[in-house]
Amino acid sequence: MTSKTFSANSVEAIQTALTHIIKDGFKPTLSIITITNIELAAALCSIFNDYNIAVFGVSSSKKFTEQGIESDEIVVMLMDMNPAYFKIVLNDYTQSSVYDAARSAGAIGKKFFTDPGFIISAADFKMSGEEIIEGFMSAAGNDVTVMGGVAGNPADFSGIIFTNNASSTGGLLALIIDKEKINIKGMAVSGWKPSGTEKQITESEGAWVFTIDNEPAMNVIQKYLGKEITFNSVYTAAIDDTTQPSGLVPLDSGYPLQFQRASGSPLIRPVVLWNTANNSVMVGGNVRPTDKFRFSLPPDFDVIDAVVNTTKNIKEKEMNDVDALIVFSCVGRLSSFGPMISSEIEGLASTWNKPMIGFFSLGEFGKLDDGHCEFHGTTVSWVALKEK
Amino acid sequence: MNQHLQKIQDIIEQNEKLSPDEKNILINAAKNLHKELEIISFKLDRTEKVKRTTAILLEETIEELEQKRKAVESQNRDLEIESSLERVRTAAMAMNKRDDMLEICVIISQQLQALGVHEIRNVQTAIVYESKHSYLNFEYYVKHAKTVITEVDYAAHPLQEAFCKQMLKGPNEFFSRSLSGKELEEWYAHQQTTNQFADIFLTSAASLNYYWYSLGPVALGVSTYAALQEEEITLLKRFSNVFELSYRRFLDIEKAEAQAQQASLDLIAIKEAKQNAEDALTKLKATQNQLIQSEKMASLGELTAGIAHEIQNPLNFVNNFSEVSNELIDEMNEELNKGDIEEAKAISKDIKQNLEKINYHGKRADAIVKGMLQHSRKNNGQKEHTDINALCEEYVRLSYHGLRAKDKFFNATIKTTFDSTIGKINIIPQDMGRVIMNLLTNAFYAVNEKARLNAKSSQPVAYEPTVSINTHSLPPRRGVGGEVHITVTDNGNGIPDSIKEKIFQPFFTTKPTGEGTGLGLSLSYDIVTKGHGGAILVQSEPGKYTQFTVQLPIP
Repeated sequence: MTSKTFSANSVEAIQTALTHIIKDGFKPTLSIITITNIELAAALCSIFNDYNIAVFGVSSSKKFTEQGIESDEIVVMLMDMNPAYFKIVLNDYTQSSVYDAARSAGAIGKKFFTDPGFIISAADFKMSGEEIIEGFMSAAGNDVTVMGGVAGNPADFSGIIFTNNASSTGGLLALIIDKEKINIKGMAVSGWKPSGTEKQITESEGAWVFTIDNEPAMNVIQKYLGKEITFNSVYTAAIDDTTQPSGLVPLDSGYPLQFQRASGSPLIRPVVLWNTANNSVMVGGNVRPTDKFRFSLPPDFDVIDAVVNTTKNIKEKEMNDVDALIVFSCVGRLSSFGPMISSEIEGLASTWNKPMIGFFSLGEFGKLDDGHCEFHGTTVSWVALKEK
Repeated sequence: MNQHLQKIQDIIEQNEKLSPDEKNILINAAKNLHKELEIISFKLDRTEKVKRTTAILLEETIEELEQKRKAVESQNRDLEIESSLERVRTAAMAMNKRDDMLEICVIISQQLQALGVHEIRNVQTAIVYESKHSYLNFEYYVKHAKTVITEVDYAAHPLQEAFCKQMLKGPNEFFSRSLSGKELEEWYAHQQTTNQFADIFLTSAASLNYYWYSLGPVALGVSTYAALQEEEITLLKRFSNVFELSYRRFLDIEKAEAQAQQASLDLIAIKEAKQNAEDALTKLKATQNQLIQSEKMASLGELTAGIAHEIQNPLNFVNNFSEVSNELIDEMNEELNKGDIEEAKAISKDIKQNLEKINYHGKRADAIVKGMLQHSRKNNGQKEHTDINALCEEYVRLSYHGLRAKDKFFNATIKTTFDSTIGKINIIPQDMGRVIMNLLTNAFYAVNEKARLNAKSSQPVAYEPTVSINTHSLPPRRGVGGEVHITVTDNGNGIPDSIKEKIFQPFFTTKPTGEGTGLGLSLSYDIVTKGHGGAILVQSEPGKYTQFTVQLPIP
């Protein structure tokens, strides 16, 4: 299987580039498209439909390829994967449950392939990532491979997922791959270090935490992380001491909460929103009363090397070569690593020196360790594909 | 780009001495430098920010841990105190005599020391008796390892008086006093003049400090050679709360000891009462035996009278016939002398008839004597085949004549109806004879009494005292064995309903004192029911009749 990446700032430029690529003899069957302007989705699909290329499209504030962070509006990866080896499903869940949408996608995968793997994205950051995982597990078993990232812009959390004939701002997009034909390997790595004492969620509902150790959640977070830390300095206008924020205020996801688990690897949930009305906070995933967490501090800069090493390990032990690499990197890493994020991206790309496409996500799906796939925050989750 | 680098880049670009390749190399180097500067700047910024956050986080965490440490320490201290208090509680529960209060003092002193209270002189408890102007003092002197119990007259010293008055105000009163210098010397001197323990260490102590908590009429206190801290005084208060348990236990023990003393007195009284009761019982049994014996003797007397009458008749015959025969022999000799042989033969014939009669009556007397011997023979309790009709007849005779012997004016009509089909039944004849005689004697007594009262009455009526005795056989029926009934009926005054239930009770009698033992019917009842498995029933109509029926089962 061959893959190529390219980018452009307009639909027309994409069409031109695509025409050239095809003229050169490449026959793509599958495309992964990342866009910033969600308005472009329909026009792009129309072009790819014309060439009969399947589309797995997502929107994100920032995208990257093996060349580094792309400033272009549209970034595309093309693959000539045998159409018999994959399916694309878009299940809107605005009218149904997230769980059902995932379960249905899982069931379709099991229907077409004995051993399906799922590369997914989802729009509407408020959906429950855990329910998506549970839906896939219920349809395709607990060991099902589910990797991907949540689409959307962290500034306003708006986002879209799209495929050839459909798009959704509240749905699940799944690229289902026949693992008997295409080898899929991947890993999610965080690097955030737990710090301070253990705290306990005492009142919560879904992803909203009302009290921590019986105190309003935001009071505790501000007490331990400081006032300035709680403001999302990257994406919100500067708020000085005299301005009291009100309503739903986005928070800096660079200081996520680490939820302890029996397995050892903590589940990392960035603090996403602050409801000033009751000082509750929304975290990037469902939590329950009695769940225990610790605050965390951003990783040292050498964690970038640790992330890159995970690909090197796989290269040495399991996949000598790959055909394509897809990367979902938490948007929190962007603010935490700043210009150094390029090193991480370049490091990942240099392992195999093969085409790579990625975007900064609002939540990641993947494996932290030998356990099953889960929903995370602050991780970089990468997936390598190799036709058998 | 950094303005300095920009300046360098501008200079490079404007420099005409450099070749284009050299310019490119230099400009690229400047661009790389810019990139590295950017990264360093970011790193610095982030490091600074993370440092601030880390500082806050660590500071808060350290403070939190510090608070937790203090909380744990406080909790541990509390646990230590609770554990000490528990030891006092346990000791209190284990108290089983008043003097164990000393052990409580020892334990409290040990626990206070374990909790860091130093310079304890003694731990003491005082039970104040306002009426006696004194208090009972249980003390443990730590340095002397000595326990002391003293009763202190609190009016003897103003300090003690002040302490007791304060304590008597009620629970939760606190009294403290610190003595030093002259005051301490004077106090020590006073103690030496009383029965109180004089602590030699006071001669070298800088001060003596008393702390007392009242629990009502009792107080817990410590005295120390150095003043206590506020926290230590609070600790003493907690011990005083637990000490209340010891005091309650003390009161319980006091009460129990008093009760035990009373109980031992009661026990002596009970033992005496028991001995008296046993003596009374022994006497009663003896009396009962005597009564039973006298009942037996009474019936024997009645029998003897009857028997004597029975024997008297044949003896009269024997005497009369022997006298007549003696005279006839004289007459016969005369006739022989006369030679009138025929007449002599006729007389000898009469003599022979007389001798036969003498012989007959002699045998009759012999039979009576044998019967009497049989009656007096020791009852072996063995059942024998006995002709119940003959037994009844014999005892009718014996009892009637027995009464007649005692009272010459006694007279009654006796009617007997015996069922000849009964044959012999298996009974203890002596016992059953006694029953029959008892019933008949009572019947005769009843009719005699009625006759006597009637005779005395101002308007006597025609009355014929009548006693009847019947025997009757009931053949076995379906499910019920055969029975023999002996019925004794008299037309005496009858038995009132009010006493009908009592007549079979031992010692119950309606006869005047000395005439009856009250055991007749009781013994009869036992003989019939227990000895023969039968029943004895009574029917009576006051003023008209009484009927006793003995029902004997035929096995």
